[in-house]
Amino acid sequence: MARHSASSKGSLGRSNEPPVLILTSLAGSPKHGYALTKDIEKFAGTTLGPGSLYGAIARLEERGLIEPEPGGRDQRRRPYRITGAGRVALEAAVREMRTLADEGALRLGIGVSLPVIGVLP
Amino acid sequence: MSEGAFERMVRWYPAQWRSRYGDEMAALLEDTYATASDVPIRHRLGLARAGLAEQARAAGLIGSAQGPEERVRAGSVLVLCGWALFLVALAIFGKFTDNWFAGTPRSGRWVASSSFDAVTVGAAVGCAIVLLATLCALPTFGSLVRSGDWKVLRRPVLRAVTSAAIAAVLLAGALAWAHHLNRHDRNGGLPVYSALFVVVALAAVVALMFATAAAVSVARRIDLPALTLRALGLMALGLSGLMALIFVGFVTWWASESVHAPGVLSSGIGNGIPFTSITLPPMLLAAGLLMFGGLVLALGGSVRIARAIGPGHATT
Repeated sequence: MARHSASSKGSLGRSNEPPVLILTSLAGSPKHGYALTKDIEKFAGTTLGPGSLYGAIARLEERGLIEPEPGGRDQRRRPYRITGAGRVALEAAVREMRTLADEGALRLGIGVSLPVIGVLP
Repeated sequence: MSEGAFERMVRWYPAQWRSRYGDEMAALLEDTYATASDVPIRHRLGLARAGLAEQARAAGLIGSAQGPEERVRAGSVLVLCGWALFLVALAIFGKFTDNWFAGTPRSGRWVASSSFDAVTVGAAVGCAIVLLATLCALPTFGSLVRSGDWKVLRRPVLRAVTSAAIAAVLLAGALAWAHHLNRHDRNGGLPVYSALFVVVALAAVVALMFATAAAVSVARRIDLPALTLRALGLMALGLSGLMALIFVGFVTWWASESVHAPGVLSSGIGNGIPFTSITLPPMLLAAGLLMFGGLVLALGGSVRIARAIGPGHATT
């Protein structure tokens, strides 16, 4: 149950899927459920409902892409962190999205997001 | 809102899921809605939907997280549920076609007769397959009962046995009475007998429903050997094929009779409740819808079984 803000209403698919949003958020730092929701709201303008969030967390944990942080004091607000496999999966997803974005930008003539370093004189 | 109220909201999820994520999710709800007067209905519905999806996933009905054995088991259960719908539809069809042969002109009999035979033979073979599957699972079920570890199954099994006994007693009573009635009284002339007939039919449907529920409970809990499970999966695939054959036979018979003997359709049971039609009698429509629903379930189950036991996915 992802609710999209007006600005992201016309977003194209994959980048708005809960697993990508969660992995992106955890790539920054470990977070528990509520902190994840707030962070995703901030960077994606999307509010994940509790059912969608924990459904995706369960699938990601099953696949070994995220894991609970060991030694957390509050077991009810246990933070999750991204695993090595999770980073690889997110990198692949980001590359795929970038390829698509670059192609779209190229065809629209609105510039390409090539790496900045080494491009500028 | 109280902490307990948040914990109650995760009741839709399976017990195993709740024990892993239930507290965390309740904490998330607390953090999100602690200052709100209530959780929005949209999120409540989302929780119910997600919880039921987890239940289906835990049972192996959706998703691919479960192993192939679990998927064969879940697929077979789906086929069994589809067969239960078929049995109700076949009972309606059987009653509807009591005197069809005599009312059909000789010129139109060949197609109708062949398709009717296909339905009859398909139903008989289907029942034999279910019986064989039950016999295959019986030794494992016996071990479970002997080990005393079947408390959780006792209730659905007892409910199924009791409802079947009640339906059998009612049916025996109705049959005994029917022998003392003439044809007119047996076919709607005597309102009290008609009412008893409806009660017997409902009791039979309820008994079938409880028997299916008990079979599903047993199938989900007994630990069948891999070979037996594979054999049951193959039987379920065969049963699905038969169901497709029965459905085709049913539709063909119906189409043939509507062309050659519309009188048979218009005088069948149930016409007039709630509407009358020569070509689309309500009872045949009901039977057709039940069969279609059963077929959809069976095909869904068959796809899961085929994917689990197909090349490269052999159960171990």
